[in-house]
Amino acid sequence: MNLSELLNSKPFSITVEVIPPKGNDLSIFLGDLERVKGRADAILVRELPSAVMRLGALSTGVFLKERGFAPIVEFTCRDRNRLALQADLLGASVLGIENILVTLGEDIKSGDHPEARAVFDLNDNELLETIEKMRQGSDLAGNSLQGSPSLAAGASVVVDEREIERAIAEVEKKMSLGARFIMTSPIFKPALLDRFMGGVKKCKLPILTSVLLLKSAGMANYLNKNIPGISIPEEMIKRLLKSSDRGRTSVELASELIAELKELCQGINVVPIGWESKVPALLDLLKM
Amino acid sequence: MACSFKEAVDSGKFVVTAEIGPPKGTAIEEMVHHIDLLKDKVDGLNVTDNQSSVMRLNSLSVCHLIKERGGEPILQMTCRDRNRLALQSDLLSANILGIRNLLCLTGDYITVGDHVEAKPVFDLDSVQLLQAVQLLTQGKDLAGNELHGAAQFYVGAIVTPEAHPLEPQLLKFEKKVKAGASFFQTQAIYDLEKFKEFMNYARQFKVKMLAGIVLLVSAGMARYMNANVPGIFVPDNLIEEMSSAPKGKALTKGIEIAGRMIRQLKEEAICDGVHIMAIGKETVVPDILAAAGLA
Amino acid sequence: MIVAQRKPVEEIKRALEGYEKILIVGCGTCVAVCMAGGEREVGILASLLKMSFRMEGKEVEISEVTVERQCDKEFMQPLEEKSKNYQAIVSLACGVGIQFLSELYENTIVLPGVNTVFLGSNEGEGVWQERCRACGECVLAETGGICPVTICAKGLLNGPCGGTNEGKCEVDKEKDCAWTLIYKRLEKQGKLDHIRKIFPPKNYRVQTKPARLVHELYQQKGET
Repeated sequence: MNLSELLNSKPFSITVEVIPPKGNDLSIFLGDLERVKGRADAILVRELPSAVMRLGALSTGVFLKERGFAPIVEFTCRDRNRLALQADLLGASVLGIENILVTLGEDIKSGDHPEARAVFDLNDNELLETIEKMRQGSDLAGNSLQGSPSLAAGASVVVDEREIERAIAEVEKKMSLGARFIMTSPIFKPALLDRFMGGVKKCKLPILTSVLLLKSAGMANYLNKNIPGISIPEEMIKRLLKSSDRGRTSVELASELIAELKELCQGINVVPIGWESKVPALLDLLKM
Repeated sequence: MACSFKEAVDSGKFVVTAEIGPPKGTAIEEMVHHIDLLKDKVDGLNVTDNQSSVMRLNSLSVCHLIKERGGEPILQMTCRDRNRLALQSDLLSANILGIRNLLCLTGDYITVGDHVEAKPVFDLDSVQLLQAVQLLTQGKDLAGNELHGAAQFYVGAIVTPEAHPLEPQLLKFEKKVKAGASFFQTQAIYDLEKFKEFMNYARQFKVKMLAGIVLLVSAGMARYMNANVPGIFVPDNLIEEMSSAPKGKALTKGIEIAGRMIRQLKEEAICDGVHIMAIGKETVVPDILAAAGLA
Repeated sequence: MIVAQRKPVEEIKRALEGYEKILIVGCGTCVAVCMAGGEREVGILASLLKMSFRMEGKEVEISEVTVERQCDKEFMQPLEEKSKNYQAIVSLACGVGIQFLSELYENTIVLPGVNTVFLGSNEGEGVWQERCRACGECVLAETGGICPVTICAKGLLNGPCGGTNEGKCEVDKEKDCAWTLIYKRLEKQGKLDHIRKIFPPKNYRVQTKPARLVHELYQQKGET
C-alpha cells in the first residue's frame, strides 16, 4: 500500500500512531490494534520517540504487516549513521515495508539513556535525499545498487501559528527532496490548518494532520508551554477541566476537531500516546 | 533445520556454521539461492553487518528471511553504525522476529568501506555490547530500566588466535567471556599446531570454540592475506600446495585443504566446530563439507 | 596546548575581498608555540598579503599587533580603541580567541586566519601530536597514561579490536594501536589488572555543547 497514492485516491484517510513497547512483549500492543484493524488505513510506527529505548519501528512494522496491517515506519537520524540507515532502508523494502516517515529525532538527553552518543550523521533533509537517490538506483556515496528499494518517503513538518510561512517553506523544501506526503505536528485550530493548506496547495503533496488525544488540562497546559508549534485553545482545556469523564471528553474533542479538519486535508493521524484503547471509540464517533 | 544452533552446540556434536553476505541492494535472488543451498547442511548461518564498512542490505532482514525459510540465522552486529539506543532496540527487534543467535563485533573502521565520510559511532564496544545483551536477557536495559518482557539470546563473539602480539587479544577474549559470550568464531586459522596451543589456553573458559576456515582460491590470495589481513598466517607449505595445483584446479585444491583441516579438527577434537567463510563462493561450501567427511 | 595551522593565504585573501583597512592580530600563547599565529607569523602573513594585493594593483592598508592571549578580556582591553580603525581583523588565535574577539568587537568583521586542529604536545622541532580530546571523563589512571579516546581510532574503552596488527592500527599502518601501547605500558608497570576489568560505556552527556565550567570557588559567589 503506497500511502501517498492512497491519500490521493480518496477524500479522507485515517492513520493511527503507535509506540512500540519497551521490551518484546507485544500482546497488549497488538490487542489495542486489533480493534482498529480494517478501520484505520495505516498504522504509523514511531521509532524510539523521546529517545527512550524500545523495540524498533522497523521490526514492529514487519510484525504488523504480517498480521494484516499497513505500516508506516518512522526513521530518525539520531541513532544510526548513513551505513545503518541505508542498510535498514533496504531491509524495509525487502520485507515489504513501503512507507517511511523521515524525522530528525528528539534530543538524546530527553530520553532514558541520556549518556548515549547522538549520531546525526545525516539530518532529515539528507535522509530524504538519500531515499530518493536509492530509489533511483544508487546509494548516498554514488555506488550502484543491485536492486533499488521501492519506498515512499514522507516528512514531518511543525506547523507553528507564529511561523506559518516557515512551515510552508519547509513543505516546499521536503517536496524538492522527494517527500511524497507530509505529516504535520498536532494541530488544534482548523483556521490554522486552513491557512497552512492555502500555502502548500501548490506543492500538491497529500497532507496528514496530526490530532492528539488530550488526557487532561494539565497535559494541555504543559504542551502549550513546552512544545513548539502546539497551540491548544482555552475552550478545549476548560472542557477537560470541567469533565467528570476525561477519557470520553478527550475522544469527543478529538472527533469534533477531526470533523472540521478532514475537510481541509487528505487525512488525519491520530496520536493516542498511551490511550490506544480509546481509539476505537473515536473511530465510532467518526463513523469509521 | 531440525534444531536450533544452541541445541546443536549443546548436544556436543561438531558444529558447522557458514556465512551469508547480503547484496548491495534489494536483489536477493542469488542470496536466497545460497540460503536454500546451505540451510540444511549447516547448524547456523551468519549474516554479516555492512561487512568491511560497505553498505549492504541489513543483517536483521536477511536473518528474518533465513528463519522464514527454515534456517538458523546468526545475526552479526557491529558497534560501528549504531548507538546504544539503536543497538539495544535492534536486539529486541531480533527477538520479536524469532532471531536468537548473535555475534557481537566491534566492526571495521569506516575508511575501509564505501562511505568514507560516514560518522563512525562506536558508542559501545563489543564487550559493552555483550554486557547489554546479558542485561536484556535479564529484563533490563543498559541504563537499568525494566523491560516489558526479557529477551532471549545465544550470543557469541570473535577471537584472533594468531594475533601479533597475542597477549592483548587474549586479555580482550577473557573480557568477552566475562561479559557473557557463550561461543566464539575465530579469525581464519591455517596452522593447526598453533591452533592447538591456543585451544590449550582457551579450554579453561568453558566457551564453545568454532575455528574459522577461509577457503583459499589461489596462492595469490594466501600471500595477499598474509600481507594485509591482521591475524591470518597461511604457512608456506600451504601456499606451495596451492601454487603447485594444476592450472584451473586451484579452487579444487583450496576445497581439499579446507576439508582436510576440518576433518583433522573434528577427528582430533581440537575444538567444538568450524565457521566456514566463503563469501563469493557460497556454492562450494557443500563441497568443502564433503571433503571434510561431513556431508 | 591548542595546536593550529595557518589557513592558505589565498583563502584568507578571498575572505578579505573588498576591505581596505585590515588589522592582523596574533596571539602569544599556544599558536605562537606551534608557529601558526605568533608575532612572527603575523609579520609573515602581513607581508604575503601586502605583496599579493600590490600585484593586483590594490591599495590595502595592513597593520599588525600581537597580544599575549586572545581568550582573556584583560589582554584584549588595549585593542578596543585600535579595532575601531579597521574594517576587518584577521585573527591568528585559535578558534577560542577568534570568537572571543568577534564578540568583543561586534562592529568589526573578524576573520579566522588559522584552522584550529587539536590539543597536543610538542614532539620535536616543528612536530605536534594530538594527545587529548577533552572528553570530560579522564581514564588515564587506568590506562597507564595513554589515552584510548584520542589514540584509538574507534575510541574503544575495552580494546584492542581485531584489526590491530604488530602494534599498529587497522586504520593506518603508520599509527600505533593505542591498546597495544596501553597493554605494554601496564605490563611494564605490573598493573595489567587495571584493564582486565570491563570499562562501562562512555558518558557522552559530559560532552554537551557548548560546555561551561564554573570553578567551585566562584559558585558560592552566585556566578553561573
